[in-house]
Amino acid sequence: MTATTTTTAGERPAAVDAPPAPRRRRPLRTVLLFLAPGLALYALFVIAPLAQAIVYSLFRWNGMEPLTDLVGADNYRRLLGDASFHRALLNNVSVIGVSLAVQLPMALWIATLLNGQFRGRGVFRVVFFVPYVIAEVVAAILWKLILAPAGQLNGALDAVGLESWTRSWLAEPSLVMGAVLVVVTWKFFGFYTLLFLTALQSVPGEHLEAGRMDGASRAQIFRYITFPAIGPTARIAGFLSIVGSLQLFDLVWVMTAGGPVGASSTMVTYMVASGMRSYEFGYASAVAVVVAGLSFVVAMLYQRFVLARDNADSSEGNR
Amino acid sequence: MRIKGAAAAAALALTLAACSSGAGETAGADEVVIEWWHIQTQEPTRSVWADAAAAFEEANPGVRVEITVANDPDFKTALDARLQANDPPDLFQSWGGGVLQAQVDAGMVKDLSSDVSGWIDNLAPAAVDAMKIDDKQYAVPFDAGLVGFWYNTELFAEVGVTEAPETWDDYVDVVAKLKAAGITPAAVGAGDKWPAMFWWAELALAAGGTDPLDEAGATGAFDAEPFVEAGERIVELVDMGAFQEGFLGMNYADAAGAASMVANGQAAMELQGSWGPGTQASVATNGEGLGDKLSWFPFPTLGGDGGAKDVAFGGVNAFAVGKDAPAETVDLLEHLTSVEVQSKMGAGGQLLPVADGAEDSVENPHQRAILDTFRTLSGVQIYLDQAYAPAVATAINDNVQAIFAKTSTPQQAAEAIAEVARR
Repeated sequence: MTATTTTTAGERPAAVDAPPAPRRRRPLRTVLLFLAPGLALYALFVIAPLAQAIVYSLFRWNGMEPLTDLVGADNYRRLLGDASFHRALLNNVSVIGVSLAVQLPMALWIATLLNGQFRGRGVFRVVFFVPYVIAEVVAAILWKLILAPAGQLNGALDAVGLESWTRSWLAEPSLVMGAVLVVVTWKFFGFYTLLFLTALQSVPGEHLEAGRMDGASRAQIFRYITFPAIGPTARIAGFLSIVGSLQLFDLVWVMTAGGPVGASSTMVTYMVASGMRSYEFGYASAVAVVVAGLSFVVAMLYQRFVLARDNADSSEGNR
Repeated sequence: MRIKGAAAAAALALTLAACSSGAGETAGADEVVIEWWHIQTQEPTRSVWADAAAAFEEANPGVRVEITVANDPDFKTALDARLQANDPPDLFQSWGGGVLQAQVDAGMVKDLSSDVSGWIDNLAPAAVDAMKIDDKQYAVPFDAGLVGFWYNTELFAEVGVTEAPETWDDYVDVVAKLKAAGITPAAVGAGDKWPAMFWWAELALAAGGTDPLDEAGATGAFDAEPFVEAGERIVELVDMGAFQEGFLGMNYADAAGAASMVANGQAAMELQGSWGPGTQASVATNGEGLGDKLSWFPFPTLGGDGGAKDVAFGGVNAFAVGKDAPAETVDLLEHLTSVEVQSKMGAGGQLLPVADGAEDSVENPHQRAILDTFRTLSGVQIYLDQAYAPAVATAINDNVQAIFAKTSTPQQAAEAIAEVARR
């Protein structure tokens, strides 16, 4: 098993005794050969399209004509002043906000409950995970029906005497984004619950027991023992939900197509609308490049400032 | 060996990606293949086309027709990819207008003027005319329709209306009566945007005729008076509560969409194309829709001078021919628009034939009335989202939705469209 001698952080006992020689003997040629398929696919499906988008974004182009109308940074300038794009960006930010402030804490809370011993635990674990398993398009159609003017939500409100609360949830510009946020939270919290549950199960029982022996309250145990132990998972969950929020598309596209009047658009729905509907492929490419750039910057900053301690030696990371 | 394997895998990945665009073009040495893309995904028209292709193959040995059927958005996406690859299909769906113009500008479609001159005169002139750009024939129509009101005669009768309104004042009066009786006057799938655009277009046409629409197409003057007036009439209706609850979020053809409300008697009318009854039937809870209770009237006039009445608002479906298409493609086109094939298509109840002599195949009396009206027209103002360049079309649809939502005033919306059109 010399192939895995590149030690991962935390495997210190093994690393100490391991002779350094086998690691160096991996010829560069072999490494490159094994990397080649992955690199080729990555280049073909990630790098090349991105490079193409960057080129297109410098043109005014309807997707059919030859690329002749070079406009330089005009598309980006237009983007800066485009109220519809600002709206979409703001909506993405609100999805990130709700994901971090509501979805993750809720998932952690439910995971804590599900980690206990009680009858029917397996059933509950499945129930909470089901929304994540449903295809996004199916979930979107489901919620579209529930939130329709004559849908189940208004029906339920009617039934309990709250007629005055009934609304056209997806038709009012002031309400639609709220509705989308609820559905996004519902759709993805199961995934994070599962993630946290796995992390919670790996918290050493003896640590918890020691805490209890020392007279720590349940809150203190959670604050000083459990939470630090699942810290790496929480930080990864935060990362996944930020990146996911920036790329949000299917759910919104099927449920509202970004409407009405752009009130629920995200950057990606706006990009698709600009390209496939308006045939402004140059402008849509500029949107794509900005989304890619934003995701990249956010990912780098997160790596640098939040995940840094997980990337470093984690043997004493549980502070 | 392992090294070779890795290299082979990489090579395979590249080859797979590279050859996906070239597949399906292999043919026998002397066999002519016509690649035909259409969007009639539903029966019976889908089979009518398939049978027509089979008959054509039989009559022309050595010619093979390869049909690709896709729904509207998938068709557009796939066509874009083929156009970008400089390889248009031989025969494909077109709606004329801004997109056809762009395809012409890009040199993707054939000028058919001389090829079709012998037989195209048998097709309805307004439809043929709509497929001309700079007096050249770039596509050949096979279906045409007009937009108008599909209404529930029973609900109209309930409020004492037995004659269809002819002027806008009469129309508003009918809406008020329906509203007062607790009936939803009109259903509109404004979530899809284009059904809302129909109202704006009809009103602009009624307010100023086709001149402002042509003018706007050329100069971008969508802030002209008729467009603003159209928006004001819409606001008038919205304020009256003329539309169903939640119309901004409702799609046209969804299971619980705008068409279903008319089909199930929950709304009294809708402003829609000739396909209205078919769509209603497909989403009706009884599986058929309103049957005899459904009737049709054209958009009312706005009083005053109004627009020229030999021009109406509607749409044309046509086929364009790709730049590298074999010569036999035009023969296939002639076959598809022959009285024989057009009659079979008309009998299907979905599309309205444009060939002279095929009109008797249309059984529904209202669709027949629309067709007869269409055949007398000298011109047709095609759907605005097809008439203009796609960016302008999107701006129209978006801003008209904003008028319905009252997030833009009619003036602001008109100016926003004009700004895009002048860009």
